[in-house]
Amino acid sequence: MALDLSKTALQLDKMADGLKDSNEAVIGRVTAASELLAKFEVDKFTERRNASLNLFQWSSPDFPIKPSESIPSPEKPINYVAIGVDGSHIDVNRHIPVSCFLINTGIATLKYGLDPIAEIESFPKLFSGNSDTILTDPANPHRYVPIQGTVLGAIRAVHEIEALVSKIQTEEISDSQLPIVGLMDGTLVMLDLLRAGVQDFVIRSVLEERFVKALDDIRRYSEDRQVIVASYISFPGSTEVMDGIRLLACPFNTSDCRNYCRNEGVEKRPCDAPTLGLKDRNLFEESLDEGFRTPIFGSSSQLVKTYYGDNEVNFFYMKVGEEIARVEIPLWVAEDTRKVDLVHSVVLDQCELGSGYPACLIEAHEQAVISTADRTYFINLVEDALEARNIRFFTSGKDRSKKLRWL
Amino acid sequence: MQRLGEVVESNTNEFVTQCYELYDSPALGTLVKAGEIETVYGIVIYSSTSGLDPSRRSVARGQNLETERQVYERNPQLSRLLSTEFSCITVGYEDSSEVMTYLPPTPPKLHSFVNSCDQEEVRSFVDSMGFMNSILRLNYPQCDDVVAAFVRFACAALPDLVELKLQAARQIANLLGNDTRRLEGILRRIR
Repeated sequence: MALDLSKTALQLDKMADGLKDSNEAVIGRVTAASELLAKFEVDKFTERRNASLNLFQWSSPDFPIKPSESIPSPEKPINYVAIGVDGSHIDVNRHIPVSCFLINTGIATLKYGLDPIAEIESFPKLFSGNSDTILTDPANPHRYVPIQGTVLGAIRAVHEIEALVSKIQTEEISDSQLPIVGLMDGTLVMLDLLRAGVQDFVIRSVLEERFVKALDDIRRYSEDRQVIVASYISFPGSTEVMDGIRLLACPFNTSDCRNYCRNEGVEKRPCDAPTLGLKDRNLFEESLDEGFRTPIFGSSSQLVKTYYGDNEVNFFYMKVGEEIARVEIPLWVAEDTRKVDLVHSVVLDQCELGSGYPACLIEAHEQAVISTADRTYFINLVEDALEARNIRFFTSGKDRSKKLRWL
Repeated sequence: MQRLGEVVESNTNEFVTQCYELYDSPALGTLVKAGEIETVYGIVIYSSTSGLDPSRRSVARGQNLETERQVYERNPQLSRLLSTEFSCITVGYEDSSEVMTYLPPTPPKLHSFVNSCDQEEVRSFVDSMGFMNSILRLNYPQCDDVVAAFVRFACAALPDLVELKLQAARQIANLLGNDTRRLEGILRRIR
C-alpha cells in the first residue's frame, strides 16, 4: 500500500481538532477587521500608505471610498451573450524522446434572449520543435527559455484570451449587437510571470505583446458596443484586502514593519489581531447578502500597474449562493458604471444558471479538460506517430519502472 | 425523403441512430432506411434522450420558471449537450433495387445517413409482414406496441390500402397462435 491511510487519518483528526479551536478566533478577527473597514477614511488611508511606501511589508490594494459598502445587483439582463473560456494542457514530458506539449482551449458561447443559441467548441493545439517550444530573446538569440511549467501556464492563458478575442470577432457574434461578457476562469493577473526570476523578454513576449494586446483588442471592440472581459475566481484564496486592513490596524505613525515589528513574532504584531490567517472572502462572507458585491478595489501590485497600463486589473467580491467569488476586471471596465453593472448582473445570472458557478465557464471547462485517460492516450498517439516513421520511442528507466511495478 | 440522423451503433439485428435535432426521433413503429448504397431497413423500436457525456447527469432546472420552453431558452447549451437517439430492429435490405424483407448480409455502416421511407418502400414491407414475427419474439416490453405502431404507421402512409388493418390483424393472429390475450392487446392498440 503506497499511502498508510491509518497513520494519515490520525493526523487528519488532529488537524480537524485544531481547526475547531481556531474557529472562535477567526470570528473575533473578522469582527475586528469589519470594524476597521467600517471606520475607513480614504484620505487617512492614502496618507498612511504614501508615508509607508517601501516600509510596509505587505502590499495593499487601492481601496474604494467606502470599502464596506454592499452593492445590490442591477436588474437581471435578458438579452446578452456570455462567452466562457478555459484551458488545459499536457506539459512537456521529459521521459519521452520528443519535446512537445499540448494546449486545449475550451470555449462556450451562450446567447440569451429572443433567439437563444449555444456554441460549444474546443481547440487542441500541439506544439513541437524548437520554434514552438522555446521562447528566444529577439535581442539575443543565445538567451532562450523552454516553454514548460510556469511559462506554459502563461502561454495557455494567452491562448484562452486570444480564443475569446477570435470569438468576439466572429460574424454571428459581432452582428448580434447584444452586450457580450467574456469570462475567463481564474485570474487576469499573470502573477507567476511577474515573480522574480522570469526574464524580461519572456514577460514582454507573453504578457505585453500577447495577453495585454488581447485585452487591448477587447477594449477597442468595447468602443463601439458593450463588450467586456472579466475573470471569475471561485472560493478565492487572496488576501489583498486583508493586507490593506493590516495597514489600517497598524498603531504606528508610519507602517514601518522592519523598524517597529522586526522582533515581534507572528500573532504578536498589532496588525495580526484582525487579519492573521484570514482570506478576503472570510471578511465578506458575513457582510455581503446574496447577489450583492463590494465596491471595486484597485491592484496592489506595482508590476501589474506597470505592465497592464489601461488594463490594470481591478477586482470586487460578490456573494453567489453561500460562496464569495472574486471578479477581476480591467481598469477600463471598472471606470464605466454601466459595464460594471453588466458584469455584476451577468455573473450573477450565469451563476444562477450554473447552480453556483457561471454556466458558460462550466461548459468551457468541460470542453477544455483533458482526462487522465486522454493524457495516456496522447502519449500512445505520440508513440504510434513516431514508430510509424521508424523513430524509436524510448522512455526513461524511471518511467518504465513506474509502469511495470514489478515484484 | 427526410434525413433523420446518422448510425452510431450497428450490429446484425439492430442499429442506433443519433438524431441531428434534439427530440426529432421518428415515432415508434416507423419504417426507416440507413445507407445510401447498401440500404438497410429498420423499424423504430426504442427512442431515448440523454446527455452526450454519460458522466454528466441531467439535473432539474425549471423550479423558478413558468414554462418548459423557458428551461431551454435559459439554458441554450442543452441543445448541444443532449442528444436524441432511436434504435431500429433490422427488417430488410435492398439488393439490386429489390427490397428483401429479411436480415441483410452485413449491418449498416457507422455514420450511414438514416432517412424516412417512401410509400413504395413501406408497401414492400406491408406486402410481406413476416418480419413482424421477429419483432413479436423480441424480449422487449414494448414489442407489442411496436407491432401495433407499425400497423398504424403503414395505414397512415398507405391510405389507399383500405384492407390493411384487417390483413395485418390476420397476420398477427397467425403469428401469435392461441395467445388470444396478447392478440387482443395488440388489436386494441391498432384500432
